[in-house]
Amino acid sequence: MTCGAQNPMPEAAAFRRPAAEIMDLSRMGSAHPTRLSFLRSLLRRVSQENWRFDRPVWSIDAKGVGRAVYRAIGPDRTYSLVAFAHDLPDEMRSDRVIATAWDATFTLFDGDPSAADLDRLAANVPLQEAGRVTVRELTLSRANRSVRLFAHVVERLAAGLQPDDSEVDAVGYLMRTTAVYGAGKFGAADRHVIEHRPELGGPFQAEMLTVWLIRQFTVDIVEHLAALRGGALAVRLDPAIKQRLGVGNSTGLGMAPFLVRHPILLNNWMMAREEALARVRSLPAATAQTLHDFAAALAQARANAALWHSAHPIQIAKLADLRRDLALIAERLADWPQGERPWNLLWLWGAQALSLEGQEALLALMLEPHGALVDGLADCMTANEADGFAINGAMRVAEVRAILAERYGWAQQIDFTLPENTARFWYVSEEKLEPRLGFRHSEEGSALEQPLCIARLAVALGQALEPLAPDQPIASLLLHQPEHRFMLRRLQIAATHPLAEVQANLIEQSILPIDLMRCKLAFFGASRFDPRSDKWVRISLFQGAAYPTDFSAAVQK
Amino acid sequence: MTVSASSSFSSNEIEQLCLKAARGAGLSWGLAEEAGVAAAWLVSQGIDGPEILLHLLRLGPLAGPTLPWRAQSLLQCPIRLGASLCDHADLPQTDLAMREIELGFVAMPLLLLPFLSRMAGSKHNSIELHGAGPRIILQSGESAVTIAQGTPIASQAHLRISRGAEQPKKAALRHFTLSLATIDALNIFAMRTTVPASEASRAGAGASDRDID
Repeated sequence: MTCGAQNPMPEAAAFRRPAAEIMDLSRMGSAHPTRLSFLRSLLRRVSQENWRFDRPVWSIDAKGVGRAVYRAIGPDRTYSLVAFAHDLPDEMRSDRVIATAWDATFTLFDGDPSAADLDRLAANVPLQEAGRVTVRELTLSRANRSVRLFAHVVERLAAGLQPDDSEVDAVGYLMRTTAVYGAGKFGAADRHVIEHRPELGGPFQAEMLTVWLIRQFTVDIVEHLAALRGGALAVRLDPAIKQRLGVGNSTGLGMAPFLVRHPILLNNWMMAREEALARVRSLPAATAQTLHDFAAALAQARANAALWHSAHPIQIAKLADLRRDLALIAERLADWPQGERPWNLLWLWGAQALSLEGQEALLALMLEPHGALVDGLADCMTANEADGFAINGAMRVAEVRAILAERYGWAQQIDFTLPENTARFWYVSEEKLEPRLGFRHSEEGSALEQPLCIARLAVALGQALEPLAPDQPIASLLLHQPEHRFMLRRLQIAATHPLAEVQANLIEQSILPIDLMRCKLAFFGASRFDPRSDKWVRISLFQGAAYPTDFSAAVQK
Repeated sequence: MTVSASSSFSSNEIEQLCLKAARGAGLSWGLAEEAGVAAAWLVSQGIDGPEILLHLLRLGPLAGPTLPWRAQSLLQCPIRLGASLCDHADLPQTDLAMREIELGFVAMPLLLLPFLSRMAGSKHNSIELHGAGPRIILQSGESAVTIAQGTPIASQAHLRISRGAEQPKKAALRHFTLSLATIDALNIFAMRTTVPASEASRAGAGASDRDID
């Protein structure tokens, strides 16, 4: 990371948390969105650079079928969300990745699409995985209606009424995406096409822009259908209700391996967030303005926690922890700030008094008043995994052993001879090429296990090193035992990226894949994390945020 | 860029497909990663890496290198050899300062090029590959490979490497279309890494089929 050399606050280093704490999976599974989350970065840029938005194409019929184009016009380039709305019979509506039809399908086009581009996209985008896009397209996505809320809102607006608050808050979105593909999937532009553009260089910025424009589409289509149905009687959505609607997202096990497969990226995300926390903790005093902003953020977090529901037992318990902890923080503010480095004192109190949920929520709250201090760190969150690909075969065995002890000591603690510690295995399903988690001792297929249990691979590498002389180059091990190549590559990445590894046994009996998803989704900026099992979740994106129309009156109605 | 129709496949797709195919054909995960990166690199140079990799995978498991390199008498896998050459890039075994190095008998020599290019970037400025047919010079950077006009490239050959001499006149690289037959055949190898989903593991992995929220 080049950011280290430019660090304006070297004194913050003393306040960084240790890797063992940060990379603990239960703690990662308690992550909250922060102002460094990717959708927040997008909204800051759009606002600072005065992006404009318009809707040059809106051709949707009374059944809700047709196409629309939304343009996001930045200082240097224009991006267009191309939306196709479909008439989907209820029995075909499925959020599973194995679905073949959706209520709406989308792509983010690089520039202004011509009529020929739109026709080409109309022949491919509705097919999703079964179609092909090109280097002109940056993402491919689809969404299904929340049947319950979508119908309710259209019906009410058509009758000249606003939807019920309780219905709005119970669901929180009109449509939910079931996949947002980027980075070269299905023929789309490779990451290297956009990585040097300031507006898309950060992680998942094309995906975030896609979802944000989809949010505008979901509101436009309900208002459109209500107007056609209700005629002169129909009304538009109340702006306050509109703001409470996000875009839902349904995410299955497919997302879980991402953080393990992108060690440099994971390191850089974690590093930026942790550096932000350390900077705030190192501040000598708290200004009146930051105290005010902190209290406001806390109030908002408490309101959000009150509306955040889940039926999953694990999440119900975590939500109870969160609500209690936010109340404790509010109480604590009565005789705070005092003493030297008040933010650090608050943090140290929280580490003793709060659950993991509350501690990680406190982290997000502490960053909130400190935009000027931490927002620049968002520029350090990108990564090129290819930078870690080349192996240094000249590294001596002694050094490999030292890195193994330093970075993978946690893995050496796991006894892989116990059946409960190898109970699960990750594999790719034949039917949809999606990651799955099986039971090793009762299911077929463990011979085709994916290399996601880094802890066990690290232990195996350690055993392979045992007979070797300390000054031998590691190239000689790889020459005869190429099965350790994968782990050695990771180890050399981890040597210079201390937060590259999730410190957990990902094949133990009680592994919770949703913890990996929660961490990634928090970095996206997702709110209302709602697990529906230990393997799939619902979330909401952009809930409470501005709309493109708020930045530009030019989106035609 | 000389690639035409193959540009409908992204570099990321090519790399991932070739990685999975190589793994399906039995290479270790770390070597399969090398195969994916190598095939995508060849495409970036205007060479049909996926098709060449497919030919290699169809040969079945091949020998890895030994030290000294020339001692391996069996037909070698260019991925295993290439990876080992890179691993030894900063070690005496690949020191080209004073000598040529005999590599032995190697299948699909073009698959060595991405590795030799990486070696060239790591230490030597330029590496020449001998024995594959035409003169081939590797450098690090953008246009990393120069293949001389004329002679066809062998599908297996006794190879040597040396420090690169002057550049030969570069052959115009063929425009190629990544054929769907190649993609399909690589997919068959890739599918060997997959497992039929059980009802148990399917349950709870994603949203239920009927969701009325």
